[in-house]
Amino acid sequence: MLKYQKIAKHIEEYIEQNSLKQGDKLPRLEEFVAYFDAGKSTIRRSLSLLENKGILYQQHGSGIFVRTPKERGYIDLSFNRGFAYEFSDYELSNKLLAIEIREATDEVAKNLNITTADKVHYVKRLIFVDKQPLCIEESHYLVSVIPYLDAGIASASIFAHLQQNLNLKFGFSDAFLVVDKLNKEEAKLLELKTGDPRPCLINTFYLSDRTPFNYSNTVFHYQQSKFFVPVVKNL
Amino acid sequence: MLLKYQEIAESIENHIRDNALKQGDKLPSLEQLVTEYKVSKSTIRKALELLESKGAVYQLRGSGIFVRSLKRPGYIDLGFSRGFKKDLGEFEMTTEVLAVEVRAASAEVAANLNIETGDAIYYIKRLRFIYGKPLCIEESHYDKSVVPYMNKEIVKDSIFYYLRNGLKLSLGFSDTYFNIGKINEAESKLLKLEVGEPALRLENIFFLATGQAFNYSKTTYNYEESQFFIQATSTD
Repeated sequence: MLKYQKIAKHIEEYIEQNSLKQGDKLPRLEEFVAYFDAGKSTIRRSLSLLENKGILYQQHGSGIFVRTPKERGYIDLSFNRGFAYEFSDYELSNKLLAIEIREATDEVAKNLNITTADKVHYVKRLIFVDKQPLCIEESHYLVSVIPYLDAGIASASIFAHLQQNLNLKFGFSDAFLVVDKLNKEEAKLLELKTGDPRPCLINTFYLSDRTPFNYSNTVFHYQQSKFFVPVVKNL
Repeated sequence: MLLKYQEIAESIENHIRDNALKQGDKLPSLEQLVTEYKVSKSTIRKALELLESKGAVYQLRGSGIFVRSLKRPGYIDLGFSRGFKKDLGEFEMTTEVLAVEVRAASAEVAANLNIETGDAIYYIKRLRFIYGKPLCIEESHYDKSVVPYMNKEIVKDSIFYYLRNGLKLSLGFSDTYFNIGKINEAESKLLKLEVGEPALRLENIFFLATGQAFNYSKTTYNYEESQFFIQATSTD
C-alpha cells in the first residue's frame, strides 16, 4: 500500500473509531500534514481518495466533513474490485458451473473490442455469501491479456489472482443495470421462482491502460442484493 | 453562475458531443487547451478533473487525454445526478403531478434529511412518463427550510432547474441506494404493471454544496422502460 493509501485508511479508521457522523468536521489539511508527517500533496491524494469513496467531502473555505453511507451490506457500484473485496466481511464461496476457452460471440467481441475469431475464457460461477446464493456470474476474459485460467484459479477470487500473480493494474469499468425476469435455469440456481425479478449487471472491465479485459454478465438474487452509488458531484 | 473551470468543462463536453467523438478519441493536449481557452494550466486541470470524475474523459499519463463516452442513449446515469432532462432529454418525457403539499416530516424522512421529526417538508409525488408510457413514481421530500416554496407549476417541470435558477441553490452531490422488489397494488395501477412484477426502487438523498441534505426521494421504476448506467473505478 502506498503512503497516501495508508493515510486514507487511518483517516477512515479514525472516523469509525470515533463514531463520527454525517456533517462532523475533521481536522484541517495542515493538521493532517503535521499529524501524519506527510507532504500536502500526499494528504490531498488521501482526502481525494476518501472523497471519491463518499466517506468525506471537502467544502472550500469551510473544511473537511464526514459523510457516512446509510447502512452496511450495500454493494458499492462505484468501485469495481470484484466480490472478494466487496464482501470481505462475509463468507464468500462459489460453485464453478463452467470454464472453457471459446470464441467470442458478437456481443462479447463488440464490448471487448476484438473480433469473433478471438478467444476468451468463459467462466460461469454461482456465488454464495454466507452460503446463500448471491448471483450467477458469467465472465469472458480475453485470452490475449490473461493467457491461462483454470478451475483452481476460478475457485477463489479471479481478480485477486490477476492483480497479485499477473500484476495486472485495473482501471475503470462501465456497468449497465437492467431488470428483467428470471428464466427457469436461473431461478433454480438462485433458489427463486421463474419470473421473479432479475437484476442484471453487465460490466466491461478495463486495465489502467484502457485495454478491456473482461466482459461479464451478473444476475443477482433480488432479495440478497442492495446497491449503493455514492455520487461525489452534481453539475 | 458557473465558475471558469466548470464553464470550460461544459465547453469540452459540448465539443465532444458536437463532433460525435467516441471512446478512445484523443483530445487536445493540456498545453493546447491552455492556449485555446486562454486560462492557466491549473484551471484546465480542474476542468479535466471534473470531466474525469464525470466519466467523460480519461487521462493517461504520458499519452494524453481521451474521450470516454460509452453511455448508450436512453440509459439513466446513476453516477451523476442531474435530473432526467439531461439523461433522457431527447426522449419525450412528461409529468403528472399527483401531490404537492407541506407536511410534517416522518421519522424516516427526518432521519434521512438530518432534521427533526415534525419539521416542515414539501411532499411532492409525480408520475413521469417516457413516450407516454409510465417510467417511474417519484416521491420527494424537500426540507422546507431550504426550499421554502413549491407549487404545481414548478414541479410539473424540472425541479432541478427551479432549485438552481429560481432559488439559486448550490447543488452538491447525492447518494443513491437501490434494491429490487415486487410491484405492489398501488404501484401497479400507476405504472400499469401486474402486481408482483419486478420493481426497481431507488432512494436518493440530495445534498447542497455545503453538505446539507435537502431532498430525500423514493422512486419506483418501471423495469420495462428503464435501464441504468454506472461508471466505476477500481482505484482512487
